Amino acid sequence: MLDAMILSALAMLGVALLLNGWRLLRGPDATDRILALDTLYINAAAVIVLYGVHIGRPDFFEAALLIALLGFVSTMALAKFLLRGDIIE
Amino acid sequence: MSSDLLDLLTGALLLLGAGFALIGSIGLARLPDVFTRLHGPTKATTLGVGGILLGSILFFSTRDGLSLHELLVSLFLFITAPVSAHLLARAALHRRCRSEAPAPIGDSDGIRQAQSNSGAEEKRMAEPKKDHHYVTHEPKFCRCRVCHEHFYNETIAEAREACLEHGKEAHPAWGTGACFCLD
Repeated sequence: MLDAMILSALAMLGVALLLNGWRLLRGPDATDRILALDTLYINAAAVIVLYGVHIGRPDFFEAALLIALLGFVSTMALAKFLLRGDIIE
Repeated sequence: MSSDLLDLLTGALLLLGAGFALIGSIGLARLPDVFTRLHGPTKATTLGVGGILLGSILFFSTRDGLSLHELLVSLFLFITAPVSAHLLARAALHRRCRSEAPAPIGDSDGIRQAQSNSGAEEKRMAEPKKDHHYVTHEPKFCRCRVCHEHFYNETIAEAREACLEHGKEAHPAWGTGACFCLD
């Protein structure tokens, strides 16, 4: 029962990742692409946590935490570059 | 509580989270302009990841004792998601991205129309859309991307000219890409 639910949740997240990838490739502006990347990494963290639940090991959350940290830093850097033309002035 | 019921609750939380993430991504793919697209995923994915992490906390707590470390991820995402969304919105404003929203009522044209007749609302809606002009509260200058020299001239056009001139002399390989203007 729980296994089927986890697998269907994983399938939904897979569709979400594909939609994000589509926006990443298509996005008319650089802002769209950065936003798509931002959503992509948050969804990837969710997929990793779900996978950890699926195989029953609690130590996958550290990878999710790392992805969340690095994704935030990279989004900030890219947005800063669009705003000011430079990352560290 | 029986373990069946706990399993059901865990599964429901995981499915709810995944559903929110999917809705957010559909919003990202389907909404018409950058500003509406910003609103979809930034709300839905934090809720989505929140739901999945709650499910994960429940799952591991019922198996080998209380485990709350997943809360770290959701706490971090709750703090950072609005910050990055705010910065992306500012970047979109700065780049003058196309917006589907009608012109605000506070526009000078809007005020004049409201004074001239009572049916201002309909007239404003009937008016053809015009480009928004956004005012950024940044100091206006141009900067060389290669050697970080700043150009503060009387007008932004003069600054751009001076910056392009500098780029042509000092960094010919960069072309016009060496010059970045905040206007």
